[in-house]
Amino acid sequence: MRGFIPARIVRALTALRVKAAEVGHYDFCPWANRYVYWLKQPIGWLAAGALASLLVALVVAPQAWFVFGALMAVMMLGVAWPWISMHGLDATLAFDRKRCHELEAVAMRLTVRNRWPWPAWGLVVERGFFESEDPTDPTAAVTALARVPGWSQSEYGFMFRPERRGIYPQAPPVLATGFPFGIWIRTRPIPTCNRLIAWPQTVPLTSVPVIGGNLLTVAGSPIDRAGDDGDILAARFYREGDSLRRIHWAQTARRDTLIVCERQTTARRRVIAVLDGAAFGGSSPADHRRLDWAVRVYASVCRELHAHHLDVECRWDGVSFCMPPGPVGLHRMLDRLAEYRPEPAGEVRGSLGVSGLDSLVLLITRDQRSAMRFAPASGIGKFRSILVDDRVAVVSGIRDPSAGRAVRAWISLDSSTDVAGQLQHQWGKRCHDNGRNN
Amino acid sequence: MTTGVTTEARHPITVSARVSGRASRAEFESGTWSLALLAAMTLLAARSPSSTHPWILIVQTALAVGGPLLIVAARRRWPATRLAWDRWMGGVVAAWCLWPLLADSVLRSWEMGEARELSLLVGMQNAVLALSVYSHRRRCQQVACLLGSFLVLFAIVIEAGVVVGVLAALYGIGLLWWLMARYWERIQQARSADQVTRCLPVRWSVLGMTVMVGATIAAVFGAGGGATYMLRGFMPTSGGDRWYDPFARAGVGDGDAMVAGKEDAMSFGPIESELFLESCMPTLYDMFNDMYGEPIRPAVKRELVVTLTDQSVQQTDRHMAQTQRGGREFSVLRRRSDAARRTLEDRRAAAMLYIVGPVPVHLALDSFNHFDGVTWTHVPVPETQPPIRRLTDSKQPWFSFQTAGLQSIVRSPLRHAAKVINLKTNRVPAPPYMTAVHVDRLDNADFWGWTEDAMAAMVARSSIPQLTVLHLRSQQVDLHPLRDHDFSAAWQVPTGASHADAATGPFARESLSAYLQTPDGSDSETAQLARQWTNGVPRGWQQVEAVVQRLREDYRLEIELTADPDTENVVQQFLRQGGGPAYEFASSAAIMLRHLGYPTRLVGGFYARRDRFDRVAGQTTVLQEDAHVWAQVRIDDNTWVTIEPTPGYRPPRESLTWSRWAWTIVRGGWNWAAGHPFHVGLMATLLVAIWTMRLWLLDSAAWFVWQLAGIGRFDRKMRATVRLLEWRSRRCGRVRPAGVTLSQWYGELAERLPAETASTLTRFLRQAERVLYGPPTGGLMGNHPQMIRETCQHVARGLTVRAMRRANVQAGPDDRLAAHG
Repeated sequence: MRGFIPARIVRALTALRVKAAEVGHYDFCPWANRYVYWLKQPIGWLAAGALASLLVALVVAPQAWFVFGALMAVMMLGVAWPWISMHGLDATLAFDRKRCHELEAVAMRLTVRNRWPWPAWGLVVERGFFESEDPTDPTAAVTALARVPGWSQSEYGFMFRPERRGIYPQAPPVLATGFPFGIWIRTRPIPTCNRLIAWPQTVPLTSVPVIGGNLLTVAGSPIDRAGDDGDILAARFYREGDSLRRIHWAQTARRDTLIVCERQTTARRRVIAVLDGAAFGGSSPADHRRLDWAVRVYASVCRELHAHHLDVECRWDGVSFCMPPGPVGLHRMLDRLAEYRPEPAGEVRGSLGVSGLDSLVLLITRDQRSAMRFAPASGIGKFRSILVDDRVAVVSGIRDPSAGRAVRAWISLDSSTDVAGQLQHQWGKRCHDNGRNN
Repeated sequence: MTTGVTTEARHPITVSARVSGRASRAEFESGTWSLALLAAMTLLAARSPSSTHPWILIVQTALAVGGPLLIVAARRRWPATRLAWDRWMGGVVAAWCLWPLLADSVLRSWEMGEARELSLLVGMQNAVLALSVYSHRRRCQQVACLLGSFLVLFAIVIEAGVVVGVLAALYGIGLLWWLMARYWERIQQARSADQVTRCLPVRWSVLGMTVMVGATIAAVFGAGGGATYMLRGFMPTSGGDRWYDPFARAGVGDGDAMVAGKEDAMSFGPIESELFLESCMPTLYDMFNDMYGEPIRPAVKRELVVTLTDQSVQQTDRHMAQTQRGGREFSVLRRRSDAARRTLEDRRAAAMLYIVGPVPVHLALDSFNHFDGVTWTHVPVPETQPPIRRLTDSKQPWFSFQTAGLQSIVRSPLRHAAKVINLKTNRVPAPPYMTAVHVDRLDNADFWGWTEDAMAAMVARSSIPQLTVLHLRSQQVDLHPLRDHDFSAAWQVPTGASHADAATGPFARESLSAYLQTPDGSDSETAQLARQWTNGVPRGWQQVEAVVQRLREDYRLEIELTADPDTENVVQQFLRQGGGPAYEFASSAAIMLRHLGYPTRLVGGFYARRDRFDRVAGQTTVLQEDAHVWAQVRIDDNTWVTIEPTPGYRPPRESLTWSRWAWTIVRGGWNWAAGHPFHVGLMATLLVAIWTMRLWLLDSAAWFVWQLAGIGRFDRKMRATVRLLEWRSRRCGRVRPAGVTLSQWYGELAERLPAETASTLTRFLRQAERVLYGPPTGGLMGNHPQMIRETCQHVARGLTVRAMRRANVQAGPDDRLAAHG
C-alpha cells in the first residue's frame, strides 16, 4: 500500500484509523457495563433478537411470531438443558502428587458422577489452572469431557502442565457446560482432594562461589543449632518429616505423644540470598516474565548453595528464614517461592546487616540502581548482584559514592533470550574465576 | 503419593498448549461465510417481488458477495498483506457497508432506486459479508452472525413468501449448527472416560419402579372397579366353580352333592332346584312403570304363553304372579304417580339379578325399532338370526349366540354370570356383544332361541327360574377402526331423502328400513339439529359420537321432567326443554342418528352399577331402580354397537390397545390439567418449592429425628448428634471411611469453618470420642452432662449441610503453607 499511496496520505489515514480505534474502544458509559455485559454473551443476542421479533410481530407483521417462538424455544432449550444436566452432576478433582516443577506434566484424575439416567455432553473443567492474558478470550479449560454416561461414575485421567509456579488450583475449579448451543454456561464448583504446588524451575549449576577470598569450607565444628550431627541439643514434638530414629521413646511414653531429639549441626558458611521483589512489580506480561525468571534464578542459586551444605538464609519482601539442611529445607524454600507474589511497592524489609565476615549476600534484582540500595549496607567483597532484565544490561558499572569506585553486576541476564544458558555460563565462570570475584 | 520432584528439567522452558476456545486461524471461517451468504440470499428473495429492475438486484448482490471474496483472495495470494488488511478492517467494513447507499442515490437519479429501508438492509447485508471475511477473529464472527440474524428477520417481515420462509428456516438451522460448532471447538480435545462404573440408584430405582407399577395397576384396575377383576372360585371358601368342597361357604357350581340353595338364597343352585321363593316377581315393564311412571295410554294387556317341554314343567299349584305389563312396546309419554311402589319384604329378595363380573354393564332384555313419536314398538323385520350352536368348553355345554360381522372390532373376551332372583322373564339379560350362554347341565339346544326383536331367550320357558345362574360370554370391542372409515357407506341414505325414499330407495334394504324409520321428515327440527351437531364431522362413527357427546354434555337427566301429555313428538319436545329421563335421551339419540342415516334401535334392560358391587360377596346387585333404556347403532349385518347418551351412565368399556390406552390417559390428564389450571399451577409451584428446598426439608427432618432420638441420657444425645453429623456429611458427598476417626475426618473440616463453629466442633469431637470410646465410668472427664447437651445443640444448629458444603468448596487454595510447617 505504501508504494502506491503517498506517505503523507498513508500517515494521515493511519492517524485517522488509530483515532477511530481509540474512539471505538473508549468506554463512554462505564456505569452501564454491569447492566449490558450479558449482551456480549450469545444468550444476550438471542434475547435481543427475541425482543426485536416480538416488537415486529406486535406492530408490523405477524409472521415474526414464528421467529419469536423459535428464538424463545432455542433460549429455553439452551438454558434448561445445561441447567438440568449440571444439576445431576458431581465431580471431584485430584492430583497424583503434591509437588512438581513448572511445565512438568502432572497426572490429574477427575471423577464425575452423573445421577441422571441420560448422559451429559460437552463438559469442560475450567478456572484455576491457567492465567488468561487476553481478557476477551474465554476461560481456558484444563480439560474437556465429551460424554459422561448416565447413572454412572466415570473417571477421567489427563495430564496438566502448570505454566507458572503457584499453588493449583489457583481458584476454585468449576465443571461447566453449555451444551448444546453454548448460549448459556452453567457451572458447578469442583472440590479438589488435594493441591498441587508448582515449584519454579531451577537451572542446574555446578559450583559455588568462594567466600571471603578463602578456600571453601564444607563442614566445620559443631555448633548449637538444630541439625543432624553432634550431640543432642533438645527435645521437641514430632514434626512430619522427622526421622523415626530420632524418637526419644522414654519421653514419648511419658508424654503420650511422639517426642524427637534435636542434635547439633556443623558450622557452615553463611549466604544471604535476597530477592528484590519491588524491582519486578508490574502487571504486564513482560513484568510477569521477568519476575518468573528472577524467581527461577533465585531458586537455582539457593538450591545449589544449599546442596553444598552452606547455611542459606532466604529473604524477600519482609520474609526471612533459614533453609534447614536436607530436603526439608529445600522443599520449604521452594514451597514458599511457589506462592510468592511481590508486593506492589514493597521493599526488602529488615536491614541486611550480617554478622560475621564469612557471609555472602547475593541479590537478584533488575538493575544496578536497585542494587545500590543494598550494596552499601553489606560491605565490600561480600555483596554480589545478579541482574535480570529484558535489555542486555551489561552495565559497565555505577559509581558508588560511598565506596569510591564503580560497582558492577556480578551476573547480568537478558530475560528475553535463553536465560538458563546465560546463567549456567556466567555462574560457572564467576565461581571459577579466582582472581575476579571482588 | 510423592511429595516432590527430584529431577530437574533440562530443556528450555516453553509454554504448554491449553484447551482454549480460540481457534487460531489465519483464514476466514467457512461456517460464518455460509451463514452470511444465506442471509444475503434471503434478503435477495425478499427484495425480488417488489423490484422493477431485477438485473440491478443481481448485480448488486454479485458485487456485495464478490468484493469480500476478492479480499479473501488477496489475503491468500499475498500473505504479507494480511496484517494490513486486519489493521484496516474497520475502514473496509465501513466502506463496504456504505457504498450501497451511495449507489442507491445515483440509481434514484436514474429512477431505478428502491425503498430507503431496503437500501439500509443492503448496507447491513454488505457489513455482514465484509465481517465474515474477518471471521478468523471471534468478535467479527459473532457480530456477523448477529447482524445476519437481524437481516433475515427483517427479510421475513418484508416478504412472507415461501422462498423467503425456506431460506430463513435454513438460516435458522444453520445458525443453530454454527452455535453448536462454536461450542464444540472448546471440546475438540475432549477426553473419554478411563473407567465407568454404573451406579444405578438401587433404592430409588426400586422405589420408583414400585410406584410406577403400583400406579399402573391402580390406573388399570382402579378404573374397572373391583368387580372387574374379582378372582372367582380359586379358594375353597368361595365355593369354586370346577370342583367341590363340602365345607364351602358358597358355591358357584355343584359337586357330587348339589347345592340346592335351600338354606341360603345367596348360593347358586342348579336349574333343578326344587324350591321357588315365594315372592313377587316383577317384569322389566313393572320396573319401568315404577321408575318412570305409568304410560299415559291405556296399557295393552298381553299374555305370554310358552310351551314347555315335559322335562322342564314344574308341578306347582301356586299361582304365578301376574305381570302388569307383558306387551312389546315402550311408551315415552309417561306420567309419574304417587302410588306406592311395590316393595318387597325381604331386602335380599329386592334384587332382580346378581351379576358377577366387570361392571358397569348394560344388560339388554328388549329392543324396539319403530317409533311413532310417542311409543316405541317392535315391528317384525325380515332378517334371519344366526343359528344357535352348541359348543363344549371344559366339558361344559355352551350355546353360541354369536352374530356375524363382529370380527373387525372384536378384541378381548369378557365373562359374566347372572343369577336370576326376582325377575320374571325368559330373556337372557345379555351384555353387549354377547356370544354364548351356559347354564349348568343344560345341554338341550331346544331351550334356547331368538326372540322377535333379536334377543336371546330361554324360549322353552315363560320365565327363567329363580336362582338360575346364567354364565354369559361376551366380547369387548375396539371402536377405533370405526372412526377411520364410514361404516354406513353401504346403506347410506342421502341427506334430505324422504322416508319413502329411505324405505324403498336404491340405498336402503328392506331389513334396514325399519331401523331408519323416523316419525318426522328430514326437514324437521330434529333432523336439522342433528345435521347442525355433525356439521364438519367426518361421516361415520365420529358423527355418532358427536351426537351422543352433545346429548351427554348439553342436556340434563331429570326423571321428573316428562314430556307434555299432548305432544305428538316427544323427541322434539325433549330437545327443546333441555332435559328429561333416560328413555328420552335414548329416543332422541336413536331418532337423530336415524335422520343422519344410521340404523338404530332402542334397547331396554338393566344397568348394573359399579357402586352396587358387594366386595364381600363378590357380586353386583341389580335392583329394580336399575332398569334403564339406551340405544344401539348397527354397523353391519347383525352387529349392534351400544351407545349411552344419558349423562351419569357409562358407555360400555372400549378395549384399547396399549398405545391408545396410554394416549387416553395422557389426554385425560391433559384435559384435567387444562380444566384445573389453578390446581396444576399450585402443584407445580409446590413441587418446585419442595425441590428447591429439599436440602432444608431433609435437614429439618433429620434434625427432628435427632431431637427425638436424643431424649434421655447425655450419651444418647451424643450418639444422635454423631449420627446427624455423619448424615449431613454424607449429604455433602463426604462419607467417613472406615478406619478414620471422627477427629481425623471432621478435624480438617473445622479448619475451614468460622472460628466459633470450629471451636464448637472441636470441643464436640473431643467429647464425643471420650463418650464413645472412653470407659463407661468417668468418661466425662470433667464435662458436665448439660455442657455436653449444649455442645450437641450448638453443633446440630451450626453445622448444617449448607455450612459443610460451603466449607468443602473452600478447601484448597485458601490454606497457607504455614499450616504445613
